[in-house]
Amino acid sequence: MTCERFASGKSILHSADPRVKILLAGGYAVVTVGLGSLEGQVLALSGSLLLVMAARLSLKEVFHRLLVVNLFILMLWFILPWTTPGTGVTHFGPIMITAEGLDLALSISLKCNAIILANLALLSTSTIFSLAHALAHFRVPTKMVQLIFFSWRYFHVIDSEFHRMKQAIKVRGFEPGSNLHTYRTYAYLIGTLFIKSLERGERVYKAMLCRGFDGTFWLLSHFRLHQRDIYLAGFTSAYLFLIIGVEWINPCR
Amino acid sequence: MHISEGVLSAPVLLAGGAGTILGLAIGLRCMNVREIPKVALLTAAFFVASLVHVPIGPSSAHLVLNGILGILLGWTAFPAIFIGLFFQAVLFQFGGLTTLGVNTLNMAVPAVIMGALARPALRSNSGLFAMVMTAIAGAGAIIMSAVMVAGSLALSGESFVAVSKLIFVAHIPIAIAEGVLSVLIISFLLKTKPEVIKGNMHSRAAKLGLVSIIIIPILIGICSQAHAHRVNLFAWYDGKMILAEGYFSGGNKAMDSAILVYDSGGKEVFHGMTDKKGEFSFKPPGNGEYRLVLEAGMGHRAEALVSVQDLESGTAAPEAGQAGPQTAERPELKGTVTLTGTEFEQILDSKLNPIKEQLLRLAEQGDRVGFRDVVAGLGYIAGLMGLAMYLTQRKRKK
Amino acid sequence: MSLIDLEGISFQYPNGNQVLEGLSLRLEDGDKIGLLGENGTGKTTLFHIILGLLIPTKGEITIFGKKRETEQDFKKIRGAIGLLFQDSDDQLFCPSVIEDVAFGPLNMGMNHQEATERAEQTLEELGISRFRDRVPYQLSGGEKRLVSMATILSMRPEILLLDEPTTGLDEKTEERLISVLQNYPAKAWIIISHVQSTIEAMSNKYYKMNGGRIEEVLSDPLS
Repeated sequence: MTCERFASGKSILHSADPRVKILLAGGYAVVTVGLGSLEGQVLALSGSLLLVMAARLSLKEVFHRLLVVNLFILMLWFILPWTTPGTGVTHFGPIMITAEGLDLALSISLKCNAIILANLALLSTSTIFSLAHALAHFRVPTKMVQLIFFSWRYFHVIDSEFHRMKQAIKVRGFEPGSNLHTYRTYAYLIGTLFIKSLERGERVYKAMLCRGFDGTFWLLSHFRLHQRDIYLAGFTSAYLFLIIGVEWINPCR
Repeated sequence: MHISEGVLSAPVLLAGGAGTILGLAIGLRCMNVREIPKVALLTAAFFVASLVHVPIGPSSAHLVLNGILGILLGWTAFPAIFIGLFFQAVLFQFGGLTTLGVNTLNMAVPAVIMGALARPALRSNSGLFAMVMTAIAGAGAIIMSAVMVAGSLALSGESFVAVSKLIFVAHIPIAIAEGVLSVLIISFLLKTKPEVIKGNMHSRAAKLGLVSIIIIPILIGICSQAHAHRVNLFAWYDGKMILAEGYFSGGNKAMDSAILVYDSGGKEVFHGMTDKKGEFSFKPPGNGEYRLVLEAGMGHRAEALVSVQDLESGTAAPEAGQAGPQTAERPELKGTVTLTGTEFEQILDSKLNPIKEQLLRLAEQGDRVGFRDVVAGLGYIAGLMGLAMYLTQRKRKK
Repeated sequence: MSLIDLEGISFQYPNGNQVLEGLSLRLEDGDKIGLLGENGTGKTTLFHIILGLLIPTKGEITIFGKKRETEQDFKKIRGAIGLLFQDSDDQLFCPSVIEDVAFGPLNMGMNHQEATERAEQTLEELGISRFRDRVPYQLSGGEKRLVSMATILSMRPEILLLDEPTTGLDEKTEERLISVLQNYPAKAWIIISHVQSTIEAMSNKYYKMNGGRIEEVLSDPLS
């Protein structure tokens, strides 16, 4: 499974310090979630589009990712306009479409896409390992960081194990359907996966003990703040302040 | 089961985040350093298993498995679920980072509670009772999560009430499928490696029970809140006509909604629609009690009673809601009449009653906002507690 | 008519690793092919392509005289071609041996009783009836290999694809597995192995994988 699709690249965002990127992504999300004005939301979306451009991500891939999320938003567009009370715009038979409902759906679409694009540009351009490493620098409890490290390290092992097991039942003629045979097969498959994972976990721990593990995890610090990280942080936060300013001038609808 | 970015309101996001921090703190405390590889491997396994699509009738759904997770991991389900959702948010843009807290809470709280429910039964025997408890845990965790997802949406605004109902209904078949799967998975584990379930997976049942007791009322509060977004109908008699006004608890008017009027015998005497301002008027055919029913769609329905005691020289007597009994007689007003003090008071009363009513309604709405704040406040407290626990834990380590 | 006919098969993994390039192979009735080649030359990939688990980037696959292209085409042949996985742990997943062996027959449309009877019969043939109610994952390596063999043979396949069937087994278990296979009425098989004794005992033709292609070699190159 190719998961970290956006993590390899040579753009300024790929080479930026993950600590800075985490802070910026957090700031971007918090500011965007609170936006009430159309102007602010449009600015937030354009800003994250700029970030995606700066990260030089494949626009086709980005569009593909957005498609999935926007299916949920599409559902909101079908429901919110007639369930939100407010001033009617038009109606289809007994169903009244309200301006407030349309506004709400629009606002959610803008904000959701803005945050996701910003996250794509800022977070998905790092590997999970370097994100976990950066979290350790933010004094996230070591146990948590180690859990993230190990889960990600063995996710691939377990995923390919599961894949081979699925192929093995496939060559024995298994075909999923809505019946007890299918459910039992999946349950056995998942149960086997759990047992294999538990036992592998025990073996991994033993192997760690053999190498002198005593409960301490050593962090080999190698992040260094570069000039370009400061520029990135400066530009992005200036833009965020611009959004806040615009929001302040145009109060909520 | 994930809620996307940009949908939930800030208090809900904050409360969810705070609750998740508390849960993570407890979860990490329950976990020994020795167990990290094991928990991490199970987390990865759950993440892999949750990508499986299982056919349910004509469609299919991906698995959640939070009930099983609760049974196997207890409180450690919190970090496991958190990590799974973190991966999904960063790698696939499912869910989101701002909603990470709410989404984790919505899946992990049911996992912990259902796990605590089923584990004692599984530890003591592996017969029918244990399997029934497992089925309840597997299906119950999904139902509970669905209720919490619906609740988080509904708390973020009444516009989402319909969406949240839809989400709840959509999860019922998934809950049944997960109940069946849970029984099959657990009986597989009992047959092949019973120590996974029967073994020393911390017996902290007492502590679990205590916290469940704290969490459940909050849940119930949230659920009941989901139903609190109602349409209000306020009606009064002004001497000639019955006037009515419908509006939603957010303050928006209930326009173009059907309104039905019944007499005291239950017979329909009139039906019509509210206008653009949400208002409606109708001339009563005679004295008596009238019951007005407003149908504002999507199950929004409100009722009000109006009594017409003296047609022509009528008396205003709004009896909707908590308004006090106002049965003062008002003399006829024909031509210029000098008003006595009491008469004046009565007229004033009849004119002010609608306003009084409005004030009462407003106060009610104030309470509602207050409740939302209480939920958020509880979340903050939980978060602070978590922080405190985390700090003491760090100190102890040093 | 050959049982399996591969023409100009090329395959590239998504990570860019080109393992097969213009490979052609014919499997006739009575062929017992020993497939040789270093690690990573695409032997396992070839097996997965024959069963439709991987779709080649180029080339034609004809099995039992019919062209196979879609998942639907391959579904029909999976009962008739048995693939023994390299790692038995990938193959065994049920809480008891009998359920695991009955899994294939159930998928082929047998009812519960028929499938159980078929499974019991297969265990008997392999002489491992005593494992019937054991938990597969608790068996030893050699026992696991015999059980996964049983899970394949219970579908009564005409062709066997055996991926390292005897690697890691002691001599006695190896001999036992070989005698089981030689007594099984298969029309043809392909066997991948790095164990010389296995290759010699079970092959009447030798093929070698090299540079993404396959070529016949006259004698057993291991010797």
